[in-house]
Amino acid sequence: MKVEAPVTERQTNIPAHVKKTRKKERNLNIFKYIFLWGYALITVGLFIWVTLTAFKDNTQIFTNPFGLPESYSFSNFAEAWTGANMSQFFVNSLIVSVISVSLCLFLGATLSFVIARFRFRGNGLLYALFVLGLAIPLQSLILPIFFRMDNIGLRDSLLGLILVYTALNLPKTVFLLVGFMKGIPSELEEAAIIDGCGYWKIFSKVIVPISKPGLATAGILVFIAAWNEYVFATVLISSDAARTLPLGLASFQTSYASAYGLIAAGVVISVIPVLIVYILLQEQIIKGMTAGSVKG
Amino acid sequence: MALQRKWILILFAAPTVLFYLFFFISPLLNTVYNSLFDWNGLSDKTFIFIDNYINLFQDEIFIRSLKNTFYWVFLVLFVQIPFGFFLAYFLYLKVKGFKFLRTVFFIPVVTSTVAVALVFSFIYEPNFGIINAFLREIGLGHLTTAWLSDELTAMTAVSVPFVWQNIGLMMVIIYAGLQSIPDEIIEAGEIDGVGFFQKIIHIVIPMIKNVLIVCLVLGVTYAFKLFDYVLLLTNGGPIHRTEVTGTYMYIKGFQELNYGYGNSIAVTMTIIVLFLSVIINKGLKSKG
Amino acid sequence: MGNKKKIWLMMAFIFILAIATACSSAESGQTEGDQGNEANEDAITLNVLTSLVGEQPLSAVYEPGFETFNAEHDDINLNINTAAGNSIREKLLAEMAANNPPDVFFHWGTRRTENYIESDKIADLTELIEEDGLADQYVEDAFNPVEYQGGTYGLPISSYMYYFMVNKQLFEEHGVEIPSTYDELVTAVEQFKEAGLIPMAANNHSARYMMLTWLSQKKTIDSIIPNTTGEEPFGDALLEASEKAAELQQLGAFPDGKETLSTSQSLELFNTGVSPMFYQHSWTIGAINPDIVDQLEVVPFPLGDGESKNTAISGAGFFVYMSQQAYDDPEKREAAWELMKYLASPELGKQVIEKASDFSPLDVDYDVSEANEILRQAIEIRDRADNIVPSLDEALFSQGVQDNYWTLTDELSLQEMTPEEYVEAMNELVEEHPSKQFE
Repeated sequence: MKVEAPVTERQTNIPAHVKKTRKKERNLNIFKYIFLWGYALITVGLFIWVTLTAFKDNTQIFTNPFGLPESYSFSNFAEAWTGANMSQFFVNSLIVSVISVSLCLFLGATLSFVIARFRFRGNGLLYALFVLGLAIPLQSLILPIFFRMDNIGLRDSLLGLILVYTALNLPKTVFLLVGFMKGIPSELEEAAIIDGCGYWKIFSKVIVPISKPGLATAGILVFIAAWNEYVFATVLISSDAARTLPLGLASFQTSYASAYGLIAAGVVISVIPVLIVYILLQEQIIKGMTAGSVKG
Repeated sequence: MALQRKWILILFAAPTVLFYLFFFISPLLNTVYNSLFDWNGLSDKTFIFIDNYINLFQDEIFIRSLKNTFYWVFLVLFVQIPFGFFLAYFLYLKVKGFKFLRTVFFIPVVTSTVAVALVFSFIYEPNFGIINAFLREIGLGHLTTAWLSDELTAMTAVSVPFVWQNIGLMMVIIYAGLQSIPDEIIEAGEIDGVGFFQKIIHIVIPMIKNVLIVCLVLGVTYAFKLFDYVLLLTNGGPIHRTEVTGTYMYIKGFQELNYGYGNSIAVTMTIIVLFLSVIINKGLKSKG
Repeated sequence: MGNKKKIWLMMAFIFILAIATACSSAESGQTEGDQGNEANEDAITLNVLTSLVGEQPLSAVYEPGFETFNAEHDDINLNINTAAGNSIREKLLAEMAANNPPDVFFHWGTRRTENYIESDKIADLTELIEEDGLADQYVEDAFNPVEYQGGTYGLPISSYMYYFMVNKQLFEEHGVEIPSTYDELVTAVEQFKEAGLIPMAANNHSARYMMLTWLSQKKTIDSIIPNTTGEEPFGDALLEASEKAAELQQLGAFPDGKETLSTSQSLELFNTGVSPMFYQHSWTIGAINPDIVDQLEVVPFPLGDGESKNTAISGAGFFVYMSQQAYDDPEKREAAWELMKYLASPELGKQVIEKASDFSPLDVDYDVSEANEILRQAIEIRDRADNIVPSLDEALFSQGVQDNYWTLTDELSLQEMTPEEYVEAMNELVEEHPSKQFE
């Protein structure tokens, strides 16, 4: 998805009956811009409003919800970051997301390699087992996963969250990677076999490098899912030490329900890193989301 | 050699498969199994077969939560997808600032639901939230209400963040679909002087039907899947006005310790989602 | 191609950052441990669940309290888990169900712990309390809410009183009389409504407290207990009280959407001068805006009618418990008991009054000059009351009633139910879940 060419007229010779619709077209054009920019303005406006709120105290928020803050002190941000432990939650989220992505890609890639590149009995069944996972509303797994993690003693831990996120994201990872790996021409592999490479070498030296775009797409999807996940985290985690960012933000809201400015600062702090990553990688992310959802 | 190959393949596949079985498939089976018991988590389990399911369909609150969930499906169909479609279509018709617009439209999709829910709790706040403040500012103070608890507005109010957050996703999927339409077809329509809506209905939509089916399946699954918004904004209240199946399952399971019952809600949800996905896929595909 | 490189660079960067921060946070975790008692490897680890964090005024006492205890006891390690405010209920429920309860935890009286007591999840402390002769250090009746069928299951750490507070300055500005009866309250509400203020900074809890107060003004503790055991159905007293609550709602006494406001959010309406009246649980005293204290006054809650007595709703409200699992392990029992005795000690009780501005169930002398002005006034109001009754919200009801009657009362206040229907539904609920506390 590249940037579109600047607006140009499509036709130069316009038939007479089209001219009648010209006025309509102009109206449509105006409507188009109002619709698009209006919607964009609302989205951006919301973000600006929350950011401004983060600089206010409650009296200002109540009496002057739209106005600019009286002063720009970063006390709310500082309080949210240190006092309310956002820094710790931030680190936890980073650890959980990065390791979940790595684990998910590793497990997903090895299996996808087998499913996509070899023919054996049960291949289709194995694949179907994972694809089925795409259609299951994950919430139906909450209760048993809670008990399972408790049994193996990983309930209130980052490792527990990592394992759960890896499992929950495996279906879409396998789905994307199998699709991708099926498209790799088999000559490359054959060449590698002639060179006397073992399966591990074929996998790591041939398949993985070629699959990089697929891996990147899956990785980004898993990262966003893990970074933003809330429901499983809220059930599994109870100590501050293992709280992730969404969870911290939510518990922050129960602990400081009336400190509206502080909550707004927490929202801004939690959104900005994702926003930066998104703006830097947006082509890849949008492509990934489209591929992930169209295929999944 | 063949034997060796088999073992190597098993070595490759086994970790993933075992992992998946342990953390995904077996919990799933567990959900189904536990839904047949009466169990409060504290005392012993009693096997009651399908009693949970029978109670479920006589439970007024569950029926209400089901209705509310279908209201989300309705909003996906008539608001989210059309909105996403028009955003995508107008972008496709080439506009100035394309890249900026697309970037902005997609921001909600990558933002965490918790942050979105908190922002909306500010928007709806009855006393200083922007909606009420704005209404007062323009002299429509009598229209202000408690958006999240008023009987008429509560369910719609908790739905807005859900609809809004995923419009961007629908947009990029539909945009990708639109790009695959050959230019000649669109141009042919223009030369024939076909009206705006006619063009969309007769030319554009049939061309991207498969993409729309994807949006539909995705939207319906999401309507059943995502309930973080409700959990965070109203927790299903006040007096169950905003209860959806997801929150009801969560409340039964984790707030009232009725695990068997909670699991039976989960199973029912899964069956409905699978059923709807199959219907949408089969129904729409065979029609064309 | 450049794009792809960017992605890999980005990922590598994130990964390095994660590892770096993980290491640094692990280190900082270590140093925190050092301050406590990391050296002692035989130390017993106690899992503690607390809700007294964040903007809860009591956190000013108990957060440092845990630290002090940790520092003073080399042989005990505290592993503190938090769940702010009411969310501790869900957290405890989940941990109890997973059969992995915290060793020591805070909770309300048996109205929220009855099910755990019945399934033997919470330890009976009767013997321990007797051994140490603890009963004497508390005020009379402090243990009532945690007594269940002859056993005593928790140690009281804080008490409550519902206090009615007005903003004198706003009353003067708008020429409104401070109400002492229900009729005067209605007049005041109408006048403030006229002036564009939100008359009462309330959420659904305060509205319920008001109703309970009008009920209790016609009851004594002895006449209210039969209502909770199902021996005697609620009658006209509850009907009249609920009619008053419903009428105030219709008059627009409460903020829009009070059901969605948390207690501290509703207090903010009072703190910022949007509302002139406030009726709440005493934990909120510590969260009152100190800048406006001069403008405020605590007054007795308006009397329902001619037969109503000047009543203060007050009692012990929050407790510390030990799980049965911890009790069964002698070493853990000893450590947990040590901690509990400290948490419910006169030392911290004094701090509850002086630092957190709340009522304490401990019979302690405190420095009046240290105590919050509003708290002093509230204590005076309680001491002058003709009748002191515990709140049905805090004690007496069975857990079955407690779990359901908030929603029921919301239905009354959202006008989905008439006061008559409400009384009938309450009686049915009590009949279904009679209190078994005194059997």
